[in-house]
Amino acid sequence: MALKLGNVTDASFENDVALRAGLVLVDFWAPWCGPCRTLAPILEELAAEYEGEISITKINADENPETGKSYCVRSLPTLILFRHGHEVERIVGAISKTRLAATLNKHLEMLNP
Amino acid sequence: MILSAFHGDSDSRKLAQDRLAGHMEQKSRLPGLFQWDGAKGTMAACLIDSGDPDEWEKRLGLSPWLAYAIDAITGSLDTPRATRIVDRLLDAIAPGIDTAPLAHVLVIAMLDEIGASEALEPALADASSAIRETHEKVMAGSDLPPSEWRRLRRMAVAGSDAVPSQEAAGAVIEAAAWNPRYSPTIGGEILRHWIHYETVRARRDYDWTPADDSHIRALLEKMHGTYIAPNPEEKRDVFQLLEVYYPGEATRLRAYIAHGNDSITASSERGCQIVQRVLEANVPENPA
Repeated sequence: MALKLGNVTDASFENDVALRAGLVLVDFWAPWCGPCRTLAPILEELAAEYEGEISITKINADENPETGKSYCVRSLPTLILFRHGHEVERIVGAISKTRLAATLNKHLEMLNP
Repeated sequence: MILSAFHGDSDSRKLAQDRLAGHMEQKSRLPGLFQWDGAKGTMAACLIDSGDPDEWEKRLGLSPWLAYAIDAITGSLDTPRATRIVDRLLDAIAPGIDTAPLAHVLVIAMLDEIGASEALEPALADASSAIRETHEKVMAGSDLPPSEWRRLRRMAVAGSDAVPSQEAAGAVIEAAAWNPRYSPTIGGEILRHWIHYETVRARRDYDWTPADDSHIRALLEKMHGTYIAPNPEEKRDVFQLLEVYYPGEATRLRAYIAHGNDSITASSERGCQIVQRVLEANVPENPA
């Protein structure tokens, strides 16, 4: 399957997220986190669903501790939605696909009223 | 594309079951939905040594919704029980059948389960019927645009928000509003929320109120504040301390937690029976 879900690191976060125009959803996850693994395939599907509208990407919080620290990520999974590099929404814990899509739609509508 | 379960050959099912059993002996099980890390995986991923939906189709001839459904049902179960359930589900599939349309059958069955379990408020009942009808239309050959599915999702979310007392039922209805063709995780999402719904219902019938919750929380905080915080040498955790200082409350809490765990196991088993029924009801007259 062609993966639409991106991957960022501490090194690439600035360019891939903070300086990026539009909406970027970042999933802070770790391999040992069960709910993160439940969320993973849902994010893959949403990345395909919103291709060209919202960039959906993940960051391994264990391997990239600096970004998590900067954004005060205290538990996993944490999803942060950025609009033009600024945090506009934060979801902590597993969320349903439909509710996550509803949140993304809300921000898309605000971006393109 | 028409899929053919196990490519019409029951030996490929046996190979997958043996592969899973081998992984379970090696304790290679991971939590989550259809995940593989290169050596370990969820129950479904251990059947094919991969968490790739395309690989699932290629290796087993099964639709990927089933991989997510298997992992949602078995996620909270111990490994021997989970392995038995996977074997049971795979054995329910006649080699050669196309399992893709059965995702719609499963979604409809789940919505019917909810409808039979409790009287839904109109906002949720309307959303549920509209989603049910859409799955029926798609099964009958209609090709509905993504905007129609989005409309249904908006309707389901609005319905859930309007009826907070039926939030758990609403989550199942919301999960049903995706086209399985493009969203195979629907198999996992709908079962995950349905198991939660069943567990919430079972807990509702148990004699445990929000006041009990607050009381126990306060006692656990008291255990921490009185015995752990001022004494770094204390080896016991708050639950062990509760057993010592408030044995009556501790017994009640243990019974409540055990009831919750039993409910999850029972709901998972029921979920398995429903999926099994869906798979078996569609055995062709002359399976390959």
